Amino acid sequence: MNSQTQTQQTFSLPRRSTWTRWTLALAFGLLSLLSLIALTVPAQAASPLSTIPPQNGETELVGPIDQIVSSSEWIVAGIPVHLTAATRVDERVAVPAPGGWAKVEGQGDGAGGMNAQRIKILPVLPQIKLKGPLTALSSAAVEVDAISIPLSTTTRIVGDPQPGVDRVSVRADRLADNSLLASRVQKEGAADLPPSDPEEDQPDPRDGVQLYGTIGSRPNGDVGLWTVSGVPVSVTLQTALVDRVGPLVAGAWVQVQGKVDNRGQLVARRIRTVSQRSYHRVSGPLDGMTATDLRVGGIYLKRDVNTKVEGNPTVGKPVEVNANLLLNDSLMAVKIKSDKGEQEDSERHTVEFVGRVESLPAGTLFGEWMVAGRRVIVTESITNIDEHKGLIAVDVLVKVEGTRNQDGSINALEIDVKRGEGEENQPGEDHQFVRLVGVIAALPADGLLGDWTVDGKTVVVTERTELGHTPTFVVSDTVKVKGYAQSDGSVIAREIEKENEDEQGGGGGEGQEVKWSGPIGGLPANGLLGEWMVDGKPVRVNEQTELKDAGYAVGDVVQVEGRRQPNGPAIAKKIEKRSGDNGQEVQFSGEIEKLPSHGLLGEWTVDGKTVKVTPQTNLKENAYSVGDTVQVKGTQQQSGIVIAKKIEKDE
Amino acid sequence: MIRDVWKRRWGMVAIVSILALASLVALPLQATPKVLAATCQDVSVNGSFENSTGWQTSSTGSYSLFSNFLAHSGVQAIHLAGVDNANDSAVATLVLPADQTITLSFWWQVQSQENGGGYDALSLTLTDGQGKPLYAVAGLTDLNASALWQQTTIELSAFAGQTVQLHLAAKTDGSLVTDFFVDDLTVTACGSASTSQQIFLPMTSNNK
Repeated sequence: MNSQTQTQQTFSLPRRSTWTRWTLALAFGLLSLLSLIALTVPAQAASPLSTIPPQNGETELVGPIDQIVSSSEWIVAGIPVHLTAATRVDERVAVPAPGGWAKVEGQGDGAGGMNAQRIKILPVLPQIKLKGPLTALSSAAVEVDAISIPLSTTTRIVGDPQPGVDRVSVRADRLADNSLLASRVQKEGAADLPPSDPEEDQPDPRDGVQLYGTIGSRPNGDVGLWTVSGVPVSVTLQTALVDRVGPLVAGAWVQVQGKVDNRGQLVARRIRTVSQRSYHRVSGPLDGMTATDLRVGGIYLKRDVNTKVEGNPTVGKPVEVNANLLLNDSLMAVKIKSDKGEQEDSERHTVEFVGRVESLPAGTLFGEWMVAGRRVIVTESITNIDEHKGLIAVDVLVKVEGTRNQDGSINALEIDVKRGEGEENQPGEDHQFVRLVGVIAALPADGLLGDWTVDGKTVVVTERTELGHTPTFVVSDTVKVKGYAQSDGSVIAREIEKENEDEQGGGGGEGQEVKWSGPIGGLPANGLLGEWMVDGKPVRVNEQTELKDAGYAVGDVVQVEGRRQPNGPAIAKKIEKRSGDNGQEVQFSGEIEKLPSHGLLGEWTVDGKTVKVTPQTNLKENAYSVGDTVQVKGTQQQSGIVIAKKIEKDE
Repeated sequence: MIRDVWKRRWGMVAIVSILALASLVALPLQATPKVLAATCQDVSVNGSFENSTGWQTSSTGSYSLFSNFLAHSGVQAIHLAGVDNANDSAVATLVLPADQTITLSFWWQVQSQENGGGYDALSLTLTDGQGKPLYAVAGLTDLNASALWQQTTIELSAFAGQTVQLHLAAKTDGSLVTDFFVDDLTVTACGSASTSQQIFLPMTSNNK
């Protein structure tokens, strides 16, 4: 017994001790577990101090303010809206008043109204919108967060939305009796995700390639060699630079449109800052592709086993490549997609594309349109036409969203007049981008808006013209103008700044001697005084410049000696041709197969050869036509292009 | 029997020791950020935007850019544009310590009536003292509109040792407004990685 008791006692002691140790072990275990959880769980995105909860599940109503019943009760688009002391109201557009428009964010009150968390006063909009969780859908009404809007047989239901499952966006019109009628109920796309880039510009036929990327480096002035996503980009005096989404400096995301020349440099027609992207992107014709490399519009990229290929990329056909920029400044393709020009939203069962209007029905906007080669059916009760960015007309760029019919035509749900990202779309901006430096000879009598005279040209200053850091201008100021040349010779100014203002911020380097050699890429339109491009760099030739040779032509290889200027082109002291580096003299006859679309300067095709006609070319006749037989004298460059010295018709 | 008891005791001790060891492995790892935090400093000026200290602002309609309409944390954020033809800006001076890893981070949200197109824009740019742009930190447009707060983080160590300005500039076109919200902006300067330390706790055992 004793022994048994002892044994029991012996056992009882370890049992108490075991409890203690188990407690200790559990405590340590819990500690370990907590430590590990703390390590693996990321910090919460929103601080618990946030005054307003996240809005993923919020309902949003956009409509006219019908009535402000009290400080806590409004009627918006016929829907009761309840405000509390916590409701934030943004009044920077206007003070809330009946007749104004508002966006109400919050939740349904369960009885057909809304509890508002935030209200933003808006400028007037064309249509009432309600977004939120679909709570019921019948042939008579759609219910969003228990807010009901009547339907009719003309209401378009898009994307087969399911009550209790999907979020929807409802567009509604106000009827004569003030009631609402939904024109469209559309299932929302992935509501929790930020939208992907919904549109990229339509490729311009003038461009061979389009690059979205980040500026790695650029010269002090605009003109010269930049790098964008590791790709050398040549910026010339003709390149349009648009900096609406921030300045064009290192780190900025930009879209570059242009062509790759025979030196592998992308010669930019236009560069503009854009919003940040997830990937660098190259779009253009596929030149070739191997297991490890590809070339698109002259731009080289790498690929590996992880690169996804969508569609059937074919040499010569357009492709779009998303890429990452590697540390060695090369682009690694993440996805190669044959360009369909159309985005399918399988969730919403819609297609979307951007294109130019080619034809419209006579006298009305309703009927059949042709947009970028596609038949688009526009119906008064279904299609919402948004002309906020301009009026519908032939040749206007539009975004079309709709559903596809079996015959391939598109029933348009939405047509928006579109401009390029960051563009102002002022009249004439499709014209050539120009820069000029000159003295102000005349200003408008009242203020700065209106017609200026600069360097003998009419410069039109609008509200959208950016007028430098210190917008005070007087006659005789020297200014730098950037803008768009019009057919009447005037320039619509996008930016004007005083010449000295620009130079003040330029930093050092002024007066430094420079010397370089290279081919002449551009000459002034009249005579030799003005800006030249030599080896991709601008140089200013003035009356003091010593020109060692009798004549100069584009393509001639010259040596430049000069003095660097802050933020501007160097001023040449001496320019002289370098013997032996120029092209071979050629002379041939042939039929003109192609002429430039405007004027005679530019590229001709004669007998299958590309012939460049410059202001220095001696054109013996006043007019030339395709089919004329001509004799060409000039110098043939390594690229095969002939820089014409003289052209005359064969007798 | 006694052997069994000892076996169990040793078993307990072994379990406790393993768990304690696990705790010790985990604890220094958990402690590391705290120690790192001591070697990092936030050199931004009032990135919470709870008041206007440290920021020079201007707005088209003379409205305050410090708004409680929508905040990522706290009560206020900086709220730019939200009107047609906006031209709003906010500038803060940043003194970036030399020989440090500099990281700028901020939360943003864009709300827009635009239907895509990138007509309205907010840019964040580093400039020198005279306002000359040095580096584009971020560019946002109505294409970035969503109901979510998103974070952008960017390393700016190349500017360590300099005094620079952070310039927020928002512009909108003449129709369909876009609101840009920025909150919880931090500029962290951290010393070299070798500063991380480990904390060791004493381990005791009861072998009775």
